Amino acid sequence: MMMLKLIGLQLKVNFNLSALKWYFKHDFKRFAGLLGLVVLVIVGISPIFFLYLMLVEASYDILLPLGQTEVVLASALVLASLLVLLFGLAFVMSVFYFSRDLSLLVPLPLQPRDILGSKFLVVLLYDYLTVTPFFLPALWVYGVNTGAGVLYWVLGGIVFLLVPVIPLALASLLILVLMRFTNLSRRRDTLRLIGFFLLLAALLAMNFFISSIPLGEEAEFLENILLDEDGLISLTTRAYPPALYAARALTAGGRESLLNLLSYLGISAAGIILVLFVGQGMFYQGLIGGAEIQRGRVLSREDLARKTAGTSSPEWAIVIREIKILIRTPIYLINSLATAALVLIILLIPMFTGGGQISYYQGLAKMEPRVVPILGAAGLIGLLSLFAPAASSSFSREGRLIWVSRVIPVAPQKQIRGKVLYAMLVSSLALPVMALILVLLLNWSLMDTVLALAAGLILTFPAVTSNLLIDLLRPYLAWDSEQKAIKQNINVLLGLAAGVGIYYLLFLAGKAAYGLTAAERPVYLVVLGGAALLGAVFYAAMLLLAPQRYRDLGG
Amino acid sequence: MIKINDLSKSYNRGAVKAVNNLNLHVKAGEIFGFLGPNGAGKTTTIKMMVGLLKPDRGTLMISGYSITDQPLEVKKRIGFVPDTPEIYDKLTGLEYLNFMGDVYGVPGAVRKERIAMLLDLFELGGAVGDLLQSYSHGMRQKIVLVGAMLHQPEVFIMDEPMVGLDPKSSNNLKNYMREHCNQGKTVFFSTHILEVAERLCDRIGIIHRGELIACGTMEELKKLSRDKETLENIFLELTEK
Ligand SMILES: Nc1ncnc2c1ncn2[C@@H]1O[C@H](COP(=O)(O)OP(=O)(O)O)[C@@H](O)[C@H]1O
Ligand SMILES: [Mg+2]
Repeated sequence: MMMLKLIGLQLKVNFNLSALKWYFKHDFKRFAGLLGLVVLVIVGISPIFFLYLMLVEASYDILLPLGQTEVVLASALVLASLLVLLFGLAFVMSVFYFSRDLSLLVPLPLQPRDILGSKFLVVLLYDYLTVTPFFLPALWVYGVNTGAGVLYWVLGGIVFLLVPVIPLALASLLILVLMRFTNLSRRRDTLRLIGFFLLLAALLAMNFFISSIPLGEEAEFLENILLDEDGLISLTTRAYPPALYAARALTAGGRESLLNLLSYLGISAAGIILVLFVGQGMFYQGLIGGAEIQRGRVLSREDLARKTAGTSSPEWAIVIREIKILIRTPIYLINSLATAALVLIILLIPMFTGGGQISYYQGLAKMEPRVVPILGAAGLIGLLSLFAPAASSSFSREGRLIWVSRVIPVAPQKQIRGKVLYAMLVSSLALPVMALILVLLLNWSLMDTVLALAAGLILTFPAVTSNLLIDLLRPYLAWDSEQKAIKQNINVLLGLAAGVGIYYLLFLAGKAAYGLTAAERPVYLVVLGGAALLGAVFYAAMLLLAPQRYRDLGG
Repeated sequence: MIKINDLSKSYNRGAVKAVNNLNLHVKAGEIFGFLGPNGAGKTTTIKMMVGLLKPDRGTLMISGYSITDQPLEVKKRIGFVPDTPEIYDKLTGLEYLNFMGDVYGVPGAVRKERIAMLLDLFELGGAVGDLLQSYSHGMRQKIVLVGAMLHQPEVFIMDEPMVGLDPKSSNNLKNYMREHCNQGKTVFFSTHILEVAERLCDRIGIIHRGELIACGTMEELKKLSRDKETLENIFLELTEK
């Protein structure tokens, strides 16, 4: 079958299997190094998931007296599925429509559904990376606490494999339709970006309405939920009903388990079939012609003269180049700024759902000592910059065009300065947004807000420089499609891990400072001073390494 | 202007000797054609000249500076056009030229004139506001050429510049190369098109399997061959040994 062959090919290409095999046989050091990197990423990100595991444990303990412990599983399933759906939109769009190999595959005598099926599988495999950290802790906590038998773990394995299928099918369908109907005019790039954000907004809004509690009847509503033994679970899965089947399959036992599993399996299979069926008709219609470019109007002599008369410094020329390319390449835009925006929105959702939480968030305005919420907000700004991999993919994104940077007479140190400047600028896009949230939604005082923003900028500095350093040390230049440079680039994960690690260290240092002095100033001093110092160290390291790296890169 | 001494480079840990003990001197005001069949080592040599590859052995001096010791001094003085015109898809032609102008430090007034002149020369004026993504192969080649000419480099280095150009553009390029040299500057380009080398170059070097097998003016090369008619015969005779 064609699709199987294609799948084999896609797996080889996307996961570099051939290269890995070669390394394993011929260059074991390199292979071990890659393996070590993966371990490093896992270790780096693990503090977050350790926190998550504790949270799941705590929820289990709260739910136990209510007799609704299966909510632990249900909410993890819902969370993982929604994440796959939301992040899937961008991923599907990149892989289905912006892979370079498409121009090789389309002329071959293949069915659209064959190509689509193989691409779907690639995204699916990546999504297990998203599902694992959210679902497995819940599976573990529930299983261990209830002393579940072998059957539970077997079913758990099956459910785990199925979790991303339905949301990914949904994301695929939405994107297939979006791309089909925006493949109209020469403005398609713009149309598609707008469509993409509208889709995202619609999904989030829907989620919000479904899971919000009816106004004015909160007390009654809560009572019902707590008394009804299925109250909570049906509330949680309202945002994503298939999760109910999955949760029941794991918890109901006996025949009911099996029936629920079959339903879950059935919906998943139907999802895949639907994607292939719709894709057979629509995929090419959205794909072909997708590279046609909007032509600008012809420049007059005067315009030309005016536009070529101004000059800027080499550093600034590099800043402008980086920003223009980031913003004009849909894949980069979606995977950097849009991802950061999505992370922010997901973090903000709880603020709007449910009555109790608003006052909790507003309580942050009064919380003492002030250093905690202020540096917390600053840390959020830094985290957002980590989720917009503008720095950690900066060298990689140059790809084969790195020759330009290596040939131009701009000292590598200056180019590094340009890149740091660019990454700081991109990160500082979060500042106005945070300012609005803090002042308008949370009623923070102006003083606190300014402090939080300034601290955020300082905390961003080590994140940016460490991520650039990582990408400078091992840039991935040999990519053949843009999404591999920014999405399937391990440096992005390494950068995230490094950033989280740095923030965790700073957090520990700040905590220690408060413990010792019980005053706020030392905490600011330790955390922000530490951040500035670390940032400067990474920056200096880059300056030191740059000449040699620019000489040898990609050669 | 260009002094290459004992230059060697091999790939795959010595398995492929791409350039072997190359010695070459090019004087100021000269158009030098670097000739050789596919895989002879032309691109490898050029990449070493512009700092994209590190030589295994040997020295490379351009305008009196060593590319390994003072790379920036060399880079300021050269213009480079690679064999495949891979370029920033998401910049417009104009943005690309302004970028090149900025990094080579070309002042605004000068830049304005040169861009206008060069765009006319290569008939790119109509497309210069478009994204490079929409350019054809030949148009990309031309915009890269223009970008490399903006600062009027002392040494202009091109890898197969005629490939992909239409006859008119290729003729304009040749005229430009000649003018450039008349101002005392140097042009170094590789090609496998013999007729171009024959008509245009002051001197020609023939590289084969990484070694320079002949170097000199057309007259000097003719003396090396039994059949002294065309460069093609000389080339075939020399490279078939
Ligand atoms: N990156 C590379 N890795 C291994 N071998 C290479 C590489 N680039 C070129 N070669 C080999 O070096 C030799 C010279 O290549 P090149 O300089 O590109 O030739 P030319 O430009 O004259 O056609 C060829 O045998 C080619 O196969
Ligand atoms: Mg070549």
